[in-house]
Amino acid sequence: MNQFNELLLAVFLLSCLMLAISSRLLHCIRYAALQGIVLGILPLTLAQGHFEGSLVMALVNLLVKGIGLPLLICRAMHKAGINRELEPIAGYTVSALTVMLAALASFWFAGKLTLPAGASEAAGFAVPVAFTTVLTGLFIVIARKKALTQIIGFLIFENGITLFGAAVMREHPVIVELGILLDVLVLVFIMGIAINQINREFSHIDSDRLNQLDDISENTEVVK
Amino acid sequence: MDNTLIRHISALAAALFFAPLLPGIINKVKAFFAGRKGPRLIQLYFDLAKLLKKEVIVSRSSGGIIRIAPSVILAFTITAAALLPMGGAASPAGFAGDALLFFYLLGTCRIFSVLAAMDTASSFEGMGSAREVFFSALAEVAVFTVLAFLALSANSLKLAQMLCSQGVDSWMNFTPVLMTALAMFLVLLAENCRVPFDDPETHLELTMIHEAMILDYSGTDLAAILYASSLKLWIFAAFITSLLIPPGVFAVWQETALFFAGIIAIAVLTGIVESSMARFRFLKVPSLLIAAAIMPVLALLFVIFFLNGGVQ
Amino acid sequence: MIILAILLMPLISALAVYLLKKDAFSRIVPVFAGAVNAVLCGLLAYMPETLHLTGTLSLKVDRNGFLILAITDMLFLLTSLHLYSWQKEDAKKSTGHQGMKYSSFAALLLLFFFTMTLTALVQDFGMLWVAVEATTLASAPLINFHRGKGSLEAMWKYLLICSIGIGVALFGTMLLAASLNDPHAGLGFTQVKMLAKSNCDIIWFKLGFVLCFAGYALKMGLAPFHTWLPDAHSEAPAPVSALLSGSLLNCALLAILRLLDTVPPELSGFAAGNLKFLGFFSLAVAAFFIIHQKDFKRMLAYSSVEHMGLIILFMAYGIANAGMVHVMTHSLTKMALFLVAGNILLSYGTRSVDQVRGLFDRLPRNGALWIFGLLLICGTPPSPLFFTEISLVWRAGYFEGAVILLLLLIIFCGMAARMLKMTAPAGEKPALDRETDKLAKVPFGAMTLITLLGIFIGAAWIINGVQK
Repeated sequence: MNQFNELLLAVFLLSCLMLAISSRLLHCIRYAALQGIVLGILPLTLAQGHFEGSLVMALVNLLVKGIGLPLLICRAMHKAGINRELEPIAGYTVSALTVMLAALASFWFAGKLTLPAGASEAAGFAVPVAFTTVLTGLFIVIARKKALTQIIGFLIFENGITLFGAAVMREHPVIVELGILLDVLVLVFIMGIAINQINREFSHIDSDRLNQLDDISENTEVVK
Repeated sequence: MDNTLIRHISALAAALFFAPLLPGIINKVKAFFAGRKGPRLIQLYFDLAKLLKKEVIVSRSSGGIIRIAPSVILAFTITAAALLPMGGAASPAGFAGDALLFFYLLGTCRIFSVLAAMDTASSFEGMGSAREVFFSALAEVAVFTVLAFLALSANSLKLAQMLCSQGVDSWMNFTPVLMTALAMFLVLLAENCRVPFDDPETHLELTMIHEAMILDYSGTDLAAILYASSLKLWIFAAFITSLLIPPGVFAVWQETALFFAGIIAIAVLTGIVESSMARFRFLKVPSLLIAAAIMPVLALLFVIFFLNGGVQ
Repeated sequence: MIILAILLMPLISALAVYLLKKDAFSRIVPVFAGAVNAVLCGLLAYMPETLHLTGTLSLKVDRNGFLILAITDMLFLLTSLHLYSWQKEDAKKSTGHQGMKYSSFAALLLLFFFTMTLTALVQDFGMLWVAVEATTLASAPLINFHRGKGSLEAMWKYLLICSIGIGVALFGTMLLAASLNDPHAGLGFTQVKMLAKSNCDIIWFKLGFVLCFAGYALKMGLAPFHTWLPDAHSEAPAPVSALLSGSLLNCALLAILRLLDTVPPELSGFAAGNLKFLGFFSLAVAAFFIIHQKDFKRMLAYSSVEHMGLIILFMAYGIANAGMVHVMTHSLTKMALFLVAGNILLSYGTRSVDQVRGLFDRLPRNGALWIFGLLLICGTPPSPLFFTEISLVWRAGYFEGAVILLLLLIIFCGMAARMLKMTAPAGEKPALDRETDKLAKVPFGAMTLITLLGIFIGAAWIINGVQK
């Protein structure tokens, strides 16, 4: 079982790396979906036999994160008619190196921590991977211009948090977990609508060109 | 000892004899996915036989390098093959540090092919060699991280130990080794000029890389170059396969069978990649190779974390 | 039963408003829901109860939660009263513009109300996170009511930045859970508090605390995490700005209070250090941006940053009671000011300070309230903020107190300069805008309430002093 966990975690880590170098949004969405599917399976295998959560929850996780959210983003992508991140703020090579640095930092930091009681042994490996994923997600939000890529970055960030939760906590109240999933689902839904509106108003979805509002210039006319 | 010697020599002989099969396998797979019949598996043998009968013509504007390059490339590639452990048997020529020699031999082959290409004073070949050097310089980074991973986890710079001691604790290091093998596979694609780095099919002047460099060879020289490049593919495939097969788990005949099956599987995989992917844009290649270089680093992190027992 | 009713009321009315799609109905329902909830909230004060959900999860009101709930209910009631007449004026002035449907707007507003109510009632860190994130989701579309470019941009930034911030808080929550060394422990506030005292891993707890605090501080608009706040609060329609500034920030504050409550004694110095840093930083940032500000709604937004900083300082110096008075006063005053600012915007069609002149001539009542509100929000007696800020400065000691006073002075000068400028007579006397000026009832009521409260506190202070 440990081998299998490790393999799944490696898939998680490599998908972070591949996300950092992919310019095609469809590929990015696929990697996010891959992570979502792994997230559906991992809680079952991480617990090493004494799994106390519900199978249903794992299934819901798999459906929402592995299929539902990627489909939502895909739809937003088709509606906005955009399929590539052309000029990222940080280039792809720099992004890949950043992911590596994030991994180095996470593994170094996780090596200094002691695992709380009750977490499974395999959880020890999930912690640094979760840290790396969280950092990668944040990095992608910062380093990409397209609003869609930023959503994907947020999703990766959220995946990392969920992975961490699966690693260290054996018991989630189901309501809380469902609530978290629902929040993320609604968030991505609203962001999809927002992207559609931004695309219509501004005829682009580059978030760095959303710069009307600031404290220096005087953009205070209100269109009535 | 004798047993190992015999095994290695027979495996090497098999490599030398069967290497031209690999491009055939790749082409068959591609033809299968395209719904065509494709050339015969042994097509390259026929090509080689045909080329060996023809005379060598060298451009008048060239210096001497293009004359000696094919023989140097062929000799160095065969020497590199002889250093590599094959079919689970360590090479009798191996010594501590032979991993460095192995990669330097392959590097020297590249230097000669580039020099020879520039020697012909053809503008296309100059362009092709510039790109070739650019890609291989990036692939080199990945090669070195792979080497670093192997050397650190085997605590040795001997190819036999680096490639064959990975799985000592049965499947303990399975995932990190798999990640390294994945990186090495990307290096294989880049070094052997396959999709997504280069397209061996293309003969459009502006897009050729490797093909542009061998435009001026003919006759036996071209045969030597073609044979050496198929052997190089075999070498890389053998490298990955030896890395993945854990030693001491299987019987000798099983190990040998697995070795050959692995090489064929890698050829098939290459074919699948080629038929399912488009060639990358030129500027996209560096990031993929850097990613390949990062994979062994991540694998190393896994190993080190394992040794320290993870989060306590 | 009361808790169930208090939660269901806004939900059901949101559903009804959304399904019926009648503008007149949509105007009256929020007022009704606000009134019912205010009454129910009052009842809850006398009949405290606990609503058990599955397992260890439950909903109930405690002291802090009740205060935030009461402020939210009061603010929602007042805002929806204002909204009732504001919407007609707004619709009149923005004819031909493709805005959001009013019924959808009202439904979202009620949903937003529901999420804030839920935030005040939950007793578990997981549920708290869910509720706080839900407030972001429900309020984001509200900002984009007028569907302008600016409001769209503000909504996007609000959604993205707040979600990331709240995501960090979720990560912190998980770290907190991990620190407790008990796999079977839930995340109930009392349970976390108990376990944190007896049996927790300090490093994990510290990490969790910092991340949770940073996440909720972002939602609360504390500098340096405040960047989304001026955009969102200035671009939103006036009643929404009033709710965002007046009660949503309080919900995030409540989350921070819950967090602070669980901190074990050996970490209390560390926690106070964090609070002080963000508090002073917020004050400084607000002071810096207020003196430059040319947009009066943004100025009010930065004033919110300032007050959130002050409130956090109250918590850092351990005078939570004065802090709560500050919270309440700030909420009511800021709501009134945002409503007045909305009226000015409605009448002049601009948010630029330089283009608004002759406020007393055009909107006499609003002009008077504008100046009065300025005095109240800057802590001029008899504003209760005067008393709370005095007690803060006393508690903070010489150096830190002096810094606070200096920053408050800068903020006062900046705000006063801008706001008084708007009342300066214009070259040509503008005509009286009677219709818009009538919208001053709710702000007037709120400011009266605050003044009375201030006088009461002042009197109590003096009597106390005399008795000593």
